[in-house]
Amino acid sequence: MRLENVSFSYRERATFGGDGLAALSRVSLTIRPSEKVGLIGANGAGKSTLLRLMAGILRPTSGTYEAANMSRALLSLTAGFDSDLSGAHNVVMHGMLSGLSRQDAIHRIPVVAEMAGLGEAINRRVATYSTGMRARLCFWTAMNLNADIMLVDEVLSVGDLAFREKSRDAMLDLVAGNRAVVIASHNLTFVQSVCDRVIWLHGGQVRADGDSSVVVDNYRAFLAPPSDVAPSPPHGVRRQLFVCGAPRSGTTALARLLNTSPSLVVGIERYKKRLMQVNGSDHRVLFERERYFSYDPGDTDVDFNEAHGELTESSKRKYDAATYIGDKVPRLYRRLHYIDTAFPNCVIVYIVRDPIRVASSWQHRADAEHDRWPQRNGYQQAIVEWNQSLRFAIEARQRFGNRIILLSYERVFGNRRLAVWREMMRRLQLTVQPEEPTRRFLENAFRRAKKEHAIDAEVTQYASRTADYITYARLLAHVL
Amino acid sequence: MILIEVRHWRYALYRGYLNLRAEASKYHFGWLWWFLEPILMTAVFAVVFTFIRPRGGEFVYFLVVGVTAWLWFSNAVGNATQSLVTAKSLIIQTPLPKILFPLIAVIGSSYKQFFVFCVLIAVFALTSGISAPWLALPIVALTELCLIVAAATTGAFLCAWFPDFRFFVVSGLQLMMFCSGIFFDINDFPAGAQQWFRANPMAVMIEQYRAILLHDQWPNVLWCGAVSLGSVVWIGVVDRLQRHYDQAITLRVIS
Repeated sequence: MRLENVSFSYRERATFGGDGLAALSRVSLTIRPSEKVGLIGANGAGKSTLLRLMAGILRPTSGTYEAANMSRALLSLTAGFDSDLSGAHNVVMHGMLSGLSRQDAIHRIPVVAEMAGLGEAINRRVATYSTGMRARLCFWTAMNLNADIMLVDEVLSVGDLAFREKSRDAMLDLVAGNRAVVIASHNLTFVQSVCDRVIWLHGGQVRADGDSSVVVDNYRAFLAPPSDVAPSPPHGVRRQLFVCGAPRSGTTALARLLNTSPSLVVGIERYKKRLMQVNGSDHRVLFERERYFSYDPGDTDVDFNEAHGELTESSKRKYDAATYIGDKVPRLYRRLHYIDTAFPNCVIVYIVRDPIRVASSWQHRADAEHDRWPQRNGYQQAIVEWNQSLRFAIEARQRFGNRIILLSYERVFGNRRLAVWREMMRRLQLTVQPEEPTRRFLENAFRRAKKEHAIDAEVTQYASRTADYITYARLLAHVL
Repeated sequence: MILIEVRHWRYALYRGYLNLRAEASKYHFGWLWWFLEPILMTAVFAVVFTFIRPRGGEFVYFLVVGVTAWLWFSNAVGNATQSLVTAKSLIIQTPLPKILFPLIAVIGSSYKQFFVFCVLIAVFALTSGISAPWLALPIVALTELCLIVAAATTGAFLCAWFPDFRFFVVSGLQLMMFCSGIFFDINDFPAGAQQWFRANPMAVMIEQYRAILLHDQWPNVLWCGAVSLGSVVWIGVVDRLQRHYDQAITLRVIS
């Protein structure tokens, strides 16, 4: 698909004549077969107009456009669904419009019903659907269309948590396929992680077109939102960084991931006992060089050499050059008030994880022999703790503002890509560093995650019923 | 393919059927309204005009033929005029020929009309018997269909281009109805006035239906031919125009 010097203007409505409103100006680009391209830019930059031009819905006001007889489908959650018809009939209608025979389109109904989680509701009128059901129907109907080029217009920012996760997975499957995919989205992390190439539109013109990491980073720099970057401390002052999150949410893996950066030294429960002590003394001194590398029996409740050997050896070399010195203590969220008071410049990295996985992991440890994990801490207790940790996370966001970085285990370790990592570095105001160790770590973590133990149905049922998914969804809207 | 591609015809034929189902599901009496509507309209005219001037029972037959033919036209054109505007969310989503939407409206109305005509013909066959001119009924119906497509597509594009035109459509349909001879016989007027009435193609069509069903006469080939030819030429012109102004129509609808 090729656009050359394409311009397009909407004309003002309902009056004769009227000045044209330029939506695109002299846009030139080529989409090659199988290419995955991201479209980014502010609202009104021309992303949707460009997608409609690519889909053949609009024709350029000037310039040339060639699509080489490739079929194209525009995937958007504002799709033309008829509320008076049933979901099933809408599926058939859209299938027929995309060129399927009626029989073939009818065969798609059960597939869409299952993927969209509509079940028998697929035979109800769309007018009776909730907004989420409509969004799911639109999304899965479009995903089941046959097209050489899929044009996706901002579909990941709506719907409930489950839908967003599922649609994100479907999008990942889509980009893994052979079709060319163009994705317009404000979700820069997602675009960066799934697209090889990104086009940045600004005021209807192509501002940048190239490697996704470079273009997205430039776009972020252009936006330069000071609000989401942790404010710099006075010059020369080393800052503290604390990793927390419900136990078994990946806090250890996250601390190790952070330690792949030469600018970060993060202990693994180095001061767990001390920081969790309600009536403890002033802990600011704990992160000073000499104290940090000298072990005191009251520092932690695990064998120091076993848990911190790696820290002491590698981090002694890193310490002097590091910008952040910190510790990971899962339940530190219970001590946020103290931490904020004692370390006013500190940064909190807060990780959340799917409750079913967390509960399963707790149960797994409780069942294991020769594990220090208390047997009473099974899956039920896990959900109690997980629910509390979310409420603390909400409080932490309010208390720490731009000094908290919220992460999701699934997004950090769910793929091998570095998009979340890069965004985290940007938020920590750390310049680009060698990424190879981080990439290797993520690849290993990804491989390990694939081998995780099976989840018991009882755990799934219990977690699904009792976990606070509403708060979880609220938090997920803010994760990197 | 004529006007649109085969796949779009398939879509239109199925969509017209689904629209009928959706419409029927909105009412308690569902599809019974297909038959109740012409009966009610006939009843109203029968009561009003019998009150003005007492007439025999044949007047009901006279009315029902006119009403049935007229309702097909008015329902199809009325639905078609809004078809592009109501299809906005689909037009913004999929590249489609715009003429498809008024055609869907016409197809939906025609399905409905098919059953109504069947019942009407059955009633006439049982009460008056059938005759050779009845063989011409499909040709007359086809002629009316051409006329409906011409009027429906024109109305749809004018309403999309100039939304205020909708009000003219409503008034225009009323004017056409009163001048179409539904409740009077054009032949009762002086010859000069009759020609004026026949400038309204629906008056011509109603006259042909009545000639067949009430008077066992063959329809007027000249008039039917004129209406068919005029409609087909008109459809051709509208089709060319809508292809030429496709982008402008899209922008009018979505803006």
